[in-house]
Amino acid sequence: MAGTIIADTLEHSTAGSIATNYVVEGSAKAWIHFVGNVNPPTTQDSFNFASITDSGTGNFELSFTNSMSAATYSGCCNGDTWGGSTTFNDGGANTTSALSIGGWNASAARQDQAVMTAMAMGDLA
Amino acid sequence: MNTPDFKGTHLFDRLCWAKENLDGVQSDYRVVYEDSVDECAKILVPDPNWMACALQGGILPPVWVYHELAKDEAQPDFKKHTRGYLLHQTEPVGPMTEEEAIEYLIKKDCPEAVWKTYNESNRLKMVICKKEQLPQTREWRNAWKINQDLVAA
Repeated sequence: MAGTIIADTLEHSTAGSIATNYVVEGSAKAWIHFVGNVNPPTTQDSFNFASITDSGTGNFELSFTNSMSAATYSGCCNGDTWGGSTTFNDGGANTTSALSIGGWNASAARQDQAVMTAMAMGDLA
Repeated sequence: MNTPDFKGTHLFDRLCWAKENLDGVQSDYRVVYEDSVDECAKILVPDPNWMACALQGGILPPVWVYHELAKDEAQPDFKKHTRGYLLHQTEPVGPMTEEEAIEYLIKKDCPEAVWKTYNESNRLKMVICKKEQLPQTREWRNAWKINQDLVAA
């Protein structure tokens, strides 16, 4: 592909060097910001997601366009944090093709949240 | 804007190009489906950046590639994909209409047991609708089912 630079190390003039696999392996492979408390949920911005499946209150499945290599990737999620509510990755339900996330309130009940964000860290298929 | 010749280009690189060059397309279509009698209806919402890729053409792999990967993942001894190259080396599909893109997305992200037999049981399991046809609030969301009377009408 035009414009390709092949390098194993990036070196700064004074700050030292870093192996490029830190960049390749340490970058988010997918991310999304969506509104989860409206019907239907609305994506504000995203990368490498094909769809949101609204599976019920505070229960969403985010499907990748470029699948992950294994289901053992890390899903990082966040949401409204007022009143003790938050958003978690339902890691046990993750597959290589979709990331499952849930919104919860302070009483540990499912809750739709206005701002829901998620990203996936790991290797691509 | 014309899509570069992406044959053999890693899918992630194609998505990077699309993110930089295409505006997202918010589709009005939604897919409502039921894959369990014990659970509420699910709603599939297309991602705007994905929809832009589908309409543009030359970016997304054919949907059968995802089915092949799903078959691999369903194996009991599955650990990680060994046929990820299918995503990158299979010739991308051409531009789709919005309706064709929804059909593609159904086959990609809805359970096969739903879309293959959606109208063969004694109740419909899947409906494509416009977002305005859904309830405007999420009240009683976990009790939602497809209205069979409306479907029959």
